[in-house]
Amino acid sequence: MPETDNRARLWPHLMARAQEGDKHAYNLLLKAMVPAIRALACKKISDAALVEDVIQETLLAIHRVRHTYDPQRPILPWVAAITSARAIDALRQRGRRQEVQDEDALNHQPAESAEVATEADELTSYLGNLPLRQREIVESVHLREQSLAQAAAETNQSVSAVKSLLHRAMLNLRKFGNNHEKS
Amino acid sequence: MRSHDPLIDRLTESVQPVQRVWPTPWRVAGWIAAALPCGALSSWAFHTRLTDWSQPGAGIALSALLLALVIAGSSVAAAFTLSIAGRKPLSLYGLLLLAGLWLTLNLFNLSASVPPAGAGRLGEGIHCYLFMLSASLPMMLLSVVALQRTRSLHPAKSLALAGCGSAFSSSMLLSLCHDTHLHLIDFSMHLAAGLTIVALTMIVGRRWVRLAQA
Repeated sequence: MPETDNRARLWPHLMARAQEGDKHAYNLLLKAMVPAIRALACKKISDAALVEDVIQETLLAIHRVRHTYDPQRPILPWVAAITSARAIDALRQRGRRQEVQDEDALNHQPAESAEVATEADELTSYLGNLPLRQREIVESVHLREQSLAQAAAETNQSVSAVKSLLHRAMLNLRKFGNNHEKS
Repeated sequence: MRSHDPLIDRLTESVQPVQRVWPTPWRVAGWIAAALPCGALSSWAFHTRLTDWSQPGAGIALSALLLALVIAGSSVAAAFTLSIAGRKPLSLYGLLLLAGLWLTLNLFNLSASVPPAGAGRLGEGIHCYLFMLSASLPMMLLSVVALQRTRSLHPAKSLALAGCGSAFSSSMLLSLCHDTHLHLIDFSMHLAAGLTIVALTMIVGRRWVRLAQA
């Protein structure tokens, strides 16, 4: 990536300023890093949507460990290591999710077509019982398959607030489900 | 291609000045300076005597003690280096070589010794096991706190190395209040304590050291 290398020459300086709290430098740096992170992620992942998720996760990771970067050292190996770790985590998670989905599909295949309509109705009624904010988060994370970071950005909340809402929504849904089974 | 600008703008808004992490040699020096006195204090209840360095095998025991200190420092340095993205520790093979040398020295001291009457019983070994565990507790805590500051992309490896550092440091402290010669059961318990310390560090620290996904 000779082009990236050229552009990256300014990055250590920008990061040093960002570590001192310079918001403008930090904004410039993160925006400049996105194409490089995308190029690095594309080397490991072919799925475009997953690459975009990895970029977000990498940006969040860079934000959390920005104090570990030493401006005397080259910045690309630091960014590459974070991107690579995040890409591997994403691939692992997707693998796990697909395994679970495949197993579920196998178990429920014969009954699926007959039950689709009923399930959709049940889902709508369960979601309808949730408070608005919890419902929005469940819809964006579980139905539209957005990452927590995306859901947070979309709803203007912190990731931990999204996690907490999602957790409460799941508890409520479980409660509704149990009540429904009893009745 | 999705736009990441809203996320970047949000991150930018929350940015605050941060304190850069100290260079690794300083962090290791700080860890040793804090861990050894804390370990000595926490294992105080198990101190029974000071080592008599006029006993046979003292030369080998002293060499093993110094080697344990070197291995402990190197392991902790490797753990701290590995925890920072994009950095690789000097050489893990060198570390393994030193550990092999330490094991050889102890085995040599083991085979050369003549056990006195009643020595080599399990009780002595359990005493050493408890000593090493109690000495390593504050060391484990310090390692996890130090690694939590940087987080790690390789938490298992970083914690295993930090655990080795704690195990060798507590073994070094044990050498200061132990016979210079070793007995089989006794030494087996030292090794068992070392493995327990590494496993405990990995189990306890994983949650705190991992750079979790959002």
